[in-house]
Amino acid sequence: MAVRSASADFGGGERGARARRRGLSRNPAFVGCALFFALAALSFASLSTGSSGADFSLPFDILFGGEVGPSAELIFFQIRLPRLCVALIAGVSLSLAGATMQALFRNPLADPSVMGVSAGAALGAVVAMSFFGGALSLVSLQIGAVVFGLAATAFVCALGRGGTILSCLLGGIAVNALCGAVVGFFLYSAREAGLKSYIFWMLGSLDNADWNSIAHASLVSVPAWIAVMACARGLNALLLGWEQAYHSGVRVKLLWRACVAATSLMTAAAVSICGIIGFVGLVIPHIMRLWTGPDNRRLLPLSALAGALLMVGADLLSRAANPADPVPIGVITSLLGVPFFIFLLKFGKGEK
Amino acid sequence: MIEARCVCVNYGGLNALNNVSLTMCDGEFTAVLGANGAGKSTLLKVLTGFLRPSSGEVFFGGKPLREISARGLALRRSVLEQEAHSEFDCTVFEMLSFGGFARGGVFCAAPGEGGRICAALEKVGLSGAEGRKYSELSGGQKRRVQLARAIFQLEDGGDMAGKGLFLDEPSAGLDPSHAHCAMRAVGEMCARGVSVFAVLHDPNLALAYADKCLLLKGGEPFMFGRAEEVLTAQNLSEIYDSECEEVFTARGKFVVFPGKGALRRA
Repeated sequence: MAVRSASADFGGGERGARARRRGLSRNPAFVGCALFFALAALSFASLSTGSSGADFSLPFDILFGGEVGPSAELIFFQIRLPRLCVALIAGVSLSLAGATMQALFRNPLADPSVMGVSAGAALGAVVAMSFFGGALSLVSLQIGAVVFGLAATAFVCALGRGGTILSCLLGGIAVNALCGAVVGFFLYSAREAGLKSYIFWMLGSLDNADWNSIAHASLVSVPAWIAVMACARGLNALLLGWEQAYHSGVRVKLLWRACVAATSLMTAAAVSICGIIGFVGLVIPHIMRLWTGPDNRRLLPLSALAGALLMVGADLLSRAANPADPVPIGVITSLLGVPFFIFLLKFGKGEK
Repeated sequence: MIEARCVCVNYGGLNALNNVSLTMCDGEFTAVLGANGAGKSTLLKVLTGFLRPSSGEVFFGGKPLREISARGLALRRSVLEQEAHSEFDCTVFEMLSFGGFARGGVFCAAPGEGGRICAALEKVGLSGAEGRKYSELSGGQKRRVQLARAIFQLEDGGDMAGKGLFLDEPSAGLDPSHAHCAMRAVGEMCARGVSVFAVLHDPNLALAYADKCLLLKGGEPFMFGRAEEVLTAQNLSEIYDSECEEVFTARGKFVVFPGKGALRRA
């Protein structure tokens, strides 16, 4: 009797079955395909346009061996393609780092800047830039970013040890503010180039893209991407709570350390090539979670795609506004993403 | 078989558990009762391997608990915690599938998990709820979803003997009909050879379902034995420090706590 009355709550299972047959727009495979094609289209557009004007046949000519002038080829391989690569790497890294941290902290407010990684990495890059100029500057800058990023994370973790997740988050916010202030101080002291690089580090920019830094950054971030994707099921179990995750067979401490290290590495690598770009890591995972649910096996890859899409799209817009001197990309990502996010937050829940 | 030998737990100088020993055979339902703060949940944490005892040892099938990996342990025992919450909005199906971590590969769940999830939900009277949002369920439904998750974690389509189901107040927040529904689901697991260890607050549920019963008082084992022998009015009034009476009906013995000096309208 008890069993029958209980299942009657759910209309004999009909409602559950209906809920399971989600609409096409929420089907993860469909969303993934849509994001992928949108990303491909925007990437194509990004390769076709630049300060020398738009030419949509250029990518085709280069791909299929058509007639291309040497200057067009130089622009394509030395300016547009590296710029696109930086946008892709940064978009994937930031959104994956955000999604992973939100699962790890079980808090939707977590993102790379909350752990202090972003500002720590920027500080490392700026410090390295001021002390090791010249030929070593690029490598030292990137090493500085990674080292300081990891150090900032380690410091925040040490602060939060024994405390709650909230104390960890608050510690991260404090470290973030401190590092940002020190970056400001360093760049303010270096008057001539100061303002330009302050904008680069604190608002993000794709203008400094070059193949060497892309190679170094991807060397660090691609293994980190693979690592967090491989942790997806463990992160899922962590959504049930740390204790329950342990009961379900997750080695919680190991998972925690691996994911924190991987997210710090990918964030620091992204910051080292394009500065701090806010918003992507916080809101892209949010949007994708509202869209297709909290299962990290879907959420992580879809967030990666969506993050790359947002970055490429924002870069296109920033260059469309002023091809010669693009608006800092962090400004555009926020302008683009926040209204969409607010819309989803306010109206997306009704259709669930 | 699950065995605890002389388990003691010290929380910063405070003796939370003192010298507790117990043996749970396959298919046996062991209930533990005691007043608030008597060490019931601490004992459950020690038995599940979450808390390492200050001294003493827990054995799972003759093997010390600390020598079994987290994943190996998860395949052999599951736990229903006192409270479970999730900040993110899962469906009931996802909630259960997240508990099947130990069986799957790196990225994919083990084959046939979907069917087992539905079967586990049916056992607790929630068939058809798998597509519902967890956050939209009532407190009692959430509790039963958690119980279904614990049951699902043990179901691997094979032999259930030698596994353990650890429940911290499985009937908390459930109305009498659903409490019995949940306990029957637990009883079914016993019949299939699973050892059940449950922290209970209702001695009548223990009388109805448990084979053995452990009474704790202030972290000390008060009595351990067959449920109907242990759960007497005298023992219960001693451990709860509250007056207890036995009532006999055609269905057997029940216990009630009338309460000293309780206000009652004439």
